Amino acid sequence: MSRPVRRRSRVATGVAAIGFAFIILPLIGLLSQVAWSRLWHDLTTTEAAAALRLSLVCSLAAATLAFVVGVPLAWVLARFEFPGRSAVRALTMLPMVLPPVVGGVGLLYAFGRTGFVGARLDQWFGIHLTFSTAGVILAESFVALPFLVITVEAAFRGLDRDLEDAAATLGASRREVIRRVTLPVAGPAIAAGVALAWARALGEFGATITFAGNIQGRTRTVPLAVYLFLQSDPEVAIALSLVLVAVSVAVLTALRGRWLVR
Amino acid sequence: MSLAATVQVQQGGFRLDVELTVASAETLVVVGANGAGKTTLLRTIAGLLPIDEGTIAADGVVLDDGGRIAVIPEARSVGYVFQDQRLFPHLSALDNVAFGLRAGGSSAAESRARARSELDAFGVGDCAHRRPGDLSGGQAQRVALARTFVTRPKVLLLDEPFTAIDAMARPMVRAVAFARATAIGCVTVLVTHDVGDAPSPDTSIIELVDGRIARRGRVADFTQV
Repeated sequence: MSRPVRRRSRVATGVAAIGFAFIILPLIGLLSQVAWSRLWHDLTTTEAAAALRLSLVCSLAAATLAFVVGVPLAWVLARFEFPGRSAVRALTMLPMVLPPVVGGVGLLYAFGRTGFVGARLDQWFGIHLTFSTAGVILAESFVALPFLVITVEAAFRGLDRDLEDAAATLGASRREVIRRVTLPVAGPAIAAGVALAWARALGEFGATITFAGNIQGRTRTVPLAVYLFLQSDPEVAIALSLVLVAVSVAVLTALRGRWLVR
Repeated sequence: MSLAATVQVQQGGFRLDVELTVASAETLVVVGANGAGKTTLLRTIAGLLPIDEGTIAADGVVLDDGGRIAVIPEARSVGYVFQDQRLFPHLSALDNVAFGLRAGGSSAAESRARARSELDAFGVGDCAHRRPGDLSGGQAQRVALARTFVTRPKVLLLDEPFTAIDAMARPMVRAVAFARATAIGCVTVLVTHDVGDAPSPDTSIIELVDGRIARRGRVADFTQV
């Protein structure tokens, strides 16, 4: 069956081109400013290298933390019936739409030295999260977690329950069914959720600078360094921006087929 | 092994109310229109759907007495071949068949060896290393049969197990399945649209209509219309 050929609307095509240009022009602007010959040098300056190293460590730790707490949270939201479930789900998604700086303020008054959790962490364990690398990881996890939960929960909901039933009739215990059927079948979605959470953590700015500050080698991640260097040394800022663009494109490429229609 | 079930279960507007017994090593054929309750009946026997009232017992052991599921599905030794196979998409045909043996505590090597010979018995040994997505409907159905038979269940539930298999291979697959059932000595409940799938004209048969047994008899009685 073939659809009747429609005459393309010139207006729609024109507006669509403007829409696409809106996305692509900043990217071209950025690429046009890259000092390609000095790129390696710019990225290996002490400050840039420190930011890259810190960002890598913190974003991986944040993605891991999001995975550890996010998969069980997604499971509960997908599989358990309890009063207020939709409210819990909505609140879990809140960091996706909340301005990150507001998230940072919230983190400050919860986990900061005078916050109701932070004060106890200080008192009992001597742990200070503000202005520390652990604080960066916490801030990044806060904004990244919903991306993982929303992806994994959809996978758990969409999973064919008959597969789990089939496994049970074959003698697999509840735990074995989860380990050997549910998690592997949901595996690609879990990997996608981790990748999204990682990419979001890597780009985190507002919550990090508010909660953890901007200390070189300790809390100054790549986005913070970009913001800082844009005033003092734009060439390094652009080089670091290019790294973030490359990572975003790589994640998008890895997730094609899941999100992108060919 | 014998099976005795008095099943009453309400699902939305549908009510299943069935009483049946299957003697040791016998087969019961269940026919009926779509929506008559055939699959619902199998799910209650497997323990995937709790019954509201009645009793399901295998060899006198109560599996479900209407108040609660007394024996959970994984402890029932019930083999269930689903109509749509429900093979595990992330495992090869071989690992699908080995799944139940692994769950039962057999070693990986032993499970795979037994899975391999079960696949051979059903004529799909050459598909061992393919994923379910790469199998034809008939091949997937045979793998599903192998996956269930290899666990040597005491109660075997077959939901349209031969429908997806092409006419050429069907007699062979049927023969293997019933020979295996006889060898294991299990009770078999066979849901089908085609009474020709029954192992013999003497096999007991019930017809479900709207969740109730409308007719009981022998397969031969149902074919002489």
